[in-house]
Amino acid sequence: MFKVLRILSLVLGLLGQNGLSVSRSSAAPAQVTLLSVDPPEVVLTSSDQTVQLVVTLQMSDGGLRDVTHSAEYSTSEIDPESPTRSAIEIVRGRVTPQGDGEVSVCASVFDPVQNKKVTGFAKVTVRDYSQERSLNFANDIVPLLTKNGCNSGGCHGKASGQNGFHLSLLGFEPDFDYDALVREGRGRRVFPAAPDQSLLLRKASGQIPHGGGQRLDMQSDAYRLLRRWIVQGMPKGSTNDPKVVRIEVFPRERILQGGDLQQLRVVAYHSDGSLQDITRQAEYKSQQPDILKVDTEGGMSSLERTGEGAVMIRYMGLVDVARVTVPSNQSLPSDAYAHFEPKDFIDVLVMQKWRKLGIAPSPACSDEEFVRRAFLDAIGTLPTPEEVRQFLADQSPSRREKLVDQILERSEYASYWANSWGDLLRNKRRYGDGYKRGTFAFAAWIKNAFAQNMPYDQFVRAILTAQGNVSDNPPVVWYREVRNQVHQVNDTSQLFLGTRVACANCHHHPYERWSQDDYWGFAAFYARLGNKQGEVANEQAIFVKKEGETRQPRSHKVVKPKGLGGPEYDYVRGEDPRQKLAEWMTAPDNPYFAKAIVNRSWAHFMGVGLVEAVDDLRTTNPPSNPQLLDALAKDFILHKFDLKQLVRTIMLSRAYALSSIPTPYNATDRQNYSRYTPKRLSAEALLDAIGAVTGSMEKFNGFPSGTRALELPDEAVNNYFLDVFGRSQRETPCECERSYAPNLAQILHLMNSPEIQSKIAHEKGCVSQLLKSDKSNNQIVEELYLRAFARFPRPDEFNDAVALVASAKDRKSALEDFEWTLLNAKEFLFNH
Amino acid sequence: MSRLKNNRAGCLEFRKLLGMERRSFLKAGLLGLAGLSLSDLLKAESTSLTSARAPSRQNSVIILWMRGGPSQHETWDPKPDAPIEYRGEFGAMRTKVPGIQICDLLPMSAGIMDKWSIIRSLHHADAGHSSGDQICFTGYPAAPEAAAEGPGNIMPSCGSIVAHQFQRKNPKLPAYVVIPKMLPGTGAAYLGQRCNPFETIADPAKDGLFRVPNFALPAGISLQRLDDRRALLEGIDNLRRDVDQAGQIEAVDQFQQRAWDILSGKEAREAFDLDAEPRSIRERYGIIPEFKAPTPDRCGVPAWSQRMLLARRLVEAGVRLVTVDVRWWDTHVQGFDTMRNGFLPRWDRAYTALIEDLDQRGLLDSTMVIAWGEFGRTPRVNANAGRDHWPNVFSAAVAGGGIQGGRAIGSSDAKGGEPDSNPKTPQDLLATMYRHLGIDTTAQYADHAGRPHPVLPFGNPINELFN
Repeated sequence: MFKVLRILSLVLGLLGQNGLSVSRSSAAPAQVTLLSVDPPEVVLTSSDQTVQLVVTLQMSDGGLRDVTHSAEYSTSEIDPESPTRSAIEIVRGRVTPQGDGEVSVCASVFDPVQNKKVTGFAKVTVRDYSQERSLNFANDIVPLLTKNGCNSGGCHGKASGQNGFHLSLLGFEPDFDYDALVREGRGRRVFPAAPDQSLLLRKASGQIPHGGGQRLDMQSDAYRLLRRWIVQGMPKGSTNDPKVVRIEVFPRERILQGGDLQQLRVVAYHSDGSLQDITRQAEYKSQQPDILKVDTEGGMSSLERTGEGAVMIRYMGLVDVARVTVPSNQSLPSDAYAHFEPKDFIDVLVMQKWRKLGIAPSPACSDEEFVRRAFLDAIGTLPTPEEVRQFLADQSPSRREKLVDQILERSEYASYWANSWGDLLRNKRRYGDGYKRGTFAFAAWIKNAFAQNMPYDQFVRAILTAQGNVSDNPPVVWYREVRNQVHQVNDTSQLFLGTRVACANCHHHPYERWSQDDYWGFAAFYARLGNKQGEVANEQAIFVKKEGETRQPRSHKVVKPKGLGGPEYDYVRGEDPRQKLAEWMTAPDNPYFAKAIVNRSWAHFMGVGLVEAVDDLRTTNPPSNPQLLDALAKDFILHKFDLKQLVRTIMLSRAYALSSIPTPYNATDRQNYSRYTPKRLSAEALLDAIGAVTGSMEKFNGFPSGTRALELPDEAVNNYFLDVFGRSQRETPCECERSYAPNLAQILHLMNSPEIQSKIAHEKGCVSQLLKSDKSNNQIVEELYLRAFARFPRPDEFNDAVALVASAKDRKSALEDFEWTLLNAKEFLFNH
Repeated sequence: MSRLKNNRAGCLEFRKLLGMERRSFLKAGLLGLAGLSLSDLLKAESTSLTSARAPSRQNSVIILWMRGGPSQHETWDPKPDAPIEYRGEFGAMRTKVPGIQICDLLPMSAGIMDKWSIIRSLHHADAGHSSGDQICFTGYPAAPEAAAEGPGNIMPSCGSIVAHQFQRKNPKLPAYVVIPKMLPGTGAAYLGQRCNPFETIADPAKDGLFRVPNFALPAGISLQRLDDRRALLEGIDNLRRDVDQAGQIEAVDQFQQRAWDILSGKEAREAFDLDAEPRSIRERYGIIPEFKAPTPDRCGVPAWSQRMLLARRLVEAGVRLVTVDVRWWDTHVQGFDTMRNGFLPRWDRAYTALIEDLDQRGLLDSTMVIAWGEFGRTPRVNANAGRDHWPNVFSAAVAGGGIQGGRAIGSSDAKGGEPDSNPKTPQDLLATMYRHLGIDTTAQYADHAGRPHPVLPFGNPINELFN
């Protein structure tokens, strides 16, 4: 039977595909309407400069197609008086000057639809070809060291250098690098009298053993440029030489079909207004390597996966991003969206995205799926059989709204979110029981904040500006782990602003615009924080000093408190700069604050953040759906930072209530919410769920029986299960510290531990109770399914299970085995 | 991009490609100089693969972690000519290797000196136990708030790097095991929980049967019943696997299969089945009861001899890195008495048993055994007839993994207080170990803030151990 079905579906699939290709061929194929060459006009003023042309076809269906690599190029001298030899050479759209002249470049492709050649033109002028340009170390040499990895963190750029040769990380300090190359190493690194004998060139080109291998070919432009710089006597360049102020990539956004190529072109704008093509000098990195790849010269290609990707472009501390959409190449049935009627802005915006990508959502989930999903996502707790029955019996159209409202009012809501925020706020009993008064108090405060639904801006403000003793103001416990300016900057930015600035502590951030001044300006908000012995031993009280300033450690200059990209504040005697920080952060126009938390929440429910990782918002890591992130943030601010409202909005969207089962129209999607993303239950939620199913709750030392794992105040409560299933050790403010990854010890524990077996066989447990009750086998099976999976068994499951129990010689063993099976099923372990 | 490593013949990928052992590779390298081409080498390798010879073993490491900080004077770097307040109570004895003397309470070690070597010039700058632990296990400075117990490290332990790189290659056994429980410095930090060590929890030092938790069936559950449950699970476990693109559901499936293999099969259970060792072997390692601390201010010596035997079983079965807790060498008070009656007799017997045992089984070449602690001890004996923490210079013992035995690398000064010649860092020893395992120490991993860190921040393999 199964086989027949499979064959049938295969045939149907084939038919479908045929139908598809017929419908495709029936539409008129797109023809080329225009071929454009970018830039249309360019001037090269030295022999070093090259320029990347980008040749684009505009198609009759509105599409754009890059043909830079496949176009044919021909050149003709504009001025017939110029030498016969062409002034330029073109390979795959890259123009290299060969001498002075003015050239018209013709790019052409053959359009099979129109059966003719299509052409476009650009004008290239080369001047001062033979005039030797004096090189500038920072502008010409440093980027080359960066691009070839010399100053990377794994090599000479690391703090200890590499085998005695130390460069600044990624070349952010050209003066330091100049000294390292020219003055250190007893002058052997560069040798103008015999440039080819320079250690720099011999090592880099692998002529003598080099730990980093051969980095430069002797025939490469980079090698020649380095050599020329040495021949010129290692000019450092004048401080008046123009500096790069901005870089820009073209095109910034494109739609590519799977397997398409797109050549990028990158231009640097200088302080004197001049610009330079740096396509070859810039560095490229694909942010979604499963969707997009990019080579070292800006050639980008999409892979087979549908989705959106970005390529980060980096040059001399400046960054830009090229974004690519790879739509699905299959056509959708006309009713692909019929089952999805947008209900709110979330639905509208996710659907916009699906349409753009040519994917369609899975069907809506059932009420059975919804009730389990909603309970687990919102409160980390399984619904009881009674709760499931009640919900399924409710046929009112607003039953899901009612359910969500009920769930959010339960006490487990506060426990669940307090547990998660206890991780992020690092409420940790690091040094033993002497510290538990503090962690317990802070945990209770967090829990109360969620129970009261304290507005998020107030919640954060209370933590940031906490002072005094633990008993008066429990959030001061935050400063126990987050105990110095470095921790304070890192935690504040990563946790509350979703921005990781830690790199800029010691050097310019490699993928962002943050400098050390930015970092220490942010640190200055905490300049006046002090701590002293608190009211009891092992406890500290936080106070604010009247004065105090922060110095940037490299420049040793005093820096004023300054938000990231925000205003600078003056130090005022007697004022706590943290108040300014809280003001800046929680202001409605703060560019990060609301986005960071809505992205975090969204990721919690939807399985994938709009920005991934959830605390890594930056230009070079753009959101998969920027409009949706903006809209969620706006809505959140509009509702005065109301977390429950945010949760409600997400949970009541149709997008949240999709089935997790993929369809042919979204099978490869994992970032556009076209179906629900399953996730394993957290360590605490799983232990509680096992307790709920078996009827034998875990007992925690020092806590009253009945205490759930989610209610534990800190990480120090001894429990093997929680450790092995990856609870957070609360060492960092990163959500990622909590682990959901399966491992052998977990599975062994579930399958084969005395602990689980004793829960299953517990004399007051579920199985014992069911045996003692007058329930029929049918009822028992139903009860167990409802407990573990929050659904009724399907008829085949029901019959199998009833038959198993009925035929068993030992009914108790059979029920134990059956319960064991439920606990080890993926349907139990995952929220789906 | 292939990167040449210092002091090495060929890049990492190249050697991996050839899959050769170090010595045969060196030989091939010499032949290469004589005109053997790469294709010849590949041909040679494929021939050796098709020949009847068993494929070469994968390399392993055993770290004997002498937690507490063993005294260099009373182990491998005695100073018989120093004044009594430095020399201490013990003398020095000749070993099988002319010119090398060790503490005279280690006669068995002296007798096989040709099989192991000493590094006498190790040093770092942190005199805290847990922070020293972290330096020696991770190669990075310690977290400022190191925990007294538990891993507490903020950079991944070398074992976690091993787990990260090798776990997939042999899913039937954990790649990284700690006997019996995690120590400071042995955690996975940002590599994530799956790279934490497999802890045996059960302790070979304890009397009675050795039972790793969850390896043996719980009371009342027969293998047949577990098999029945498994069959039942197959019928019920209907959640579609394709709902999860991240592969976690599939991973659970695989782990369930693996767990079943362990419970029903032999490989893992046998590896951990210490009780299968014959009495004679167990006695060779030493069945010496715990040395109980006579007063609370002194340290005791658990009966860890059998932990070393378990380590041998594990590497024999294919575990890649085993860390053995052989604590607690923190001899501040009455140190000489504790060493004489506690540590040294147990150590001498068990350590030499391990080396000989590995050697006799043909495992010594593929297994590097590193014995050290987080630091050494003060050159001057304190008022309590003990010595205090001293990271300025300390010693390590290295055997196997292709090293030459009978070497003393580097030296400390006349009082055993500072490195005198050829100073070495813990990172150098870790680099030696990583090279043995074929791990590129420049590979980078991103921490929870996204910052990339190389496997080691610095350090070069100690080639003096080899050539």
